[in-house]
Amino acid sequence: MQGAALNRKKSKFHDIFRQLRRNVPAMIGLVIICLLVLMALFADVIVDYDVDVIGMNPSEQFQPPSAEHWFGTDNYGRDLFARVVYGSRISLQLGVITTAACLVIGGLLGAIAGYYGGLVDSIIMRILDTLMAIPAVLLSLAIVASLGPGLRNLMIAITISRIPGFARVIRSSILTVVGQEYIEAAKSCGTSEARIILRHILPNALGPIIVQSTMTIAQNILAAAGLSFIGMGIAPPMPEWGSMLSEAREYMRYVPHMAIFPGLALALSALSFNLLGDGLRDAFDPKMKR
Amino acid sequence: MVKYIIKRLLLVFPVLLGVSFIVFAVMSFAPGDPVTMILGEQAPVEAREQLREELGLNDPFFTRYFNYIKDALHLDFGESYRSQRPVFEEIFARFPVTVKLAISSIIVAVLIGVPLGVLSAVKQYSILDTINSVMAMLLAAIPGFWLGLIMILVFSLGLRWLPPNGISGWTSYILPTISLSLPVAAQILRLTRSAMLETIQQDYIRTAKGKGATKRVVIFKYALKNALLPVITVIGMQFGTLLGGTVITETVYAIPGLGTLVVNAIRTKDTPQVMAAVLLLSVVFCIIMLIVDILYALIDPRVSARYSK
Repeated sequence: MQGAALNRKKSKFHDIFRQLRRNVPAMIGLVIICLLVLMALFADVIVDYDVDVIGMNPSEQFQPPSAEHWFGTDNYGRDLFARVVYGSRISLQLGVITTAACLVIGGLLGAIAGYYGGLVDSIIMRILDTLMAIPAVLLSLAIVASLGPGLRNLMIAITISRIPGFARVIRSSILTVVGQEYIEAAKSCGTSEARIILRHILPNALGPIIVQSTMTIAQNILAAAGLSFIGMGIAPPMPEWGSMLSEAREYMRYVPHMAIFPGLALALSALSFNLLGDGLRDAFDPKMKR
Repeated sequence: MVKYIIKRLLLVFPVLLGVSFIVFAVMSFAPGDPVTMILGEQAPVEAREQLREELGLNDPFFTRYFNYIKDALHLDFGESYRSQRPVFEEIFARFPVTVKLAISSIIVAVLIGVPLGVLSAVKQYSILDTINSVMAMLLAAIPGFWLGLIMILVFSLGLRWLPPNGISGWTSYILPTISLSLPVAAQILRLTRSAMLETIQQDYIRTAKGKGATKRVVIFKYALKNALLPVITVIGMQFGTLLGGTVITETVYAIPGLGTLVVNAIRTKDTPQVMAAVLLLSVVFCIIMLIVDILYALIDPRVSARYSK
């Protein structure tokens, strides 16, 4: 019995992965993500943080891209390639951790609201509506301002402003499952609530949640870069892509390459997560199965 | 319907109360001293203390919050710590710029997103559909502020066609509008496409086709009208988001809008200014969402039937 259930579950994920593998854009996204992750993991091996990333070198100021400096150098003579490589570490970390936090907090709120319904649902949803009525950028800005700049505080700010949207998605995907007959059946068999939620509802509501998480990583990376860009996120000399663009603004009239590469890195990472998320959505969608 | 609208309008008040509490609490944690900002670094201790007492800064948090709400209910939102003028004076001087930006951006986004989305759905898997999908994917991933920088680089600094920053006539709105609208257009395009595809598979479309209606009638009269429902919600939400989310684009182009006002107010811990601006944006957001719901009822007879009961 246990074995059969395990087999069935395996085949479901196997199915989804097979579906995903046939999706070329999603695979491109996955490959880019893997490259980004490798780049972030081995950033220390690829470049020397103290020398290339934050070490100033006035004699090499504003060099155009060349064999020695692939992406050129910035106003302090720092190698832009090294900074962009190192920036992947910050952005990926931020994207993944904030999304995980949204998933846990938003997921819990959404699941409780969706499963219990009634008054609990109303209270949670009203609180989330209130949070949603505050423009997300301004809320994150105010939170960063009160906590102070830095990676950790930026992550807290982004997480809080994203929780409402996340909780809504999870609530609605739980709601579609809760009404199903097999949940009713499990309840009438006297299955405990915790077991129903963990074993029956969550696995079946998983699809939209995974898709939303993947897309949220991209959105959070962009949102954080935006905040750093206006000087309310990660402060220099840390090589965050958004704050690099902010520095580039001053000089781009003369050295346009400073404004190009960090932006490309940002767009590429957001694109890769969006492509994967899109592919996952198709793979989870039973209507797309052929 | 009228009853529903009144009920929804009344629901705005608890939301505003919640918003004011959250923002007030967050701002109270922010470092910085308004007294120093008003009087300057050199002010004598007695004068500082007197002003602190006048502004009520020595009171505990909840007292300060209740006093704020009490004043706000009398429509007294206080004065900006920085300019010493009523907060709405500066807000109303700057809000029109942001509103113009948001309106022009949402119009451009709809004009690009909806027709291309419909075309993509009608000609699914054609070359046009592929191009649209790729474009939408790329635009959704490109950060608006980077697009803004690149456009300044090309169109202002390179070709010298458009002003790079500030507001000096309508040409100043072109670049900011493009950088705000393209990501939104991408989202609307994708949503319109999927909503259209879903509608086209419905039974009533098959019935209409079976009755011999021409393709054009089927698409515009039946399919589009039904597919537009989810699209309208997203357009409304995006418009609300645009109003409060122009901050970064305003910074890129140095536009004196509400966004830059709020950022500066947040930076200098100008709590009354931040509160008033955020409350205004929240009211506008709630009203937009209400209008979206009403539009819903107007377009979809199934929804309006539910209200009339």
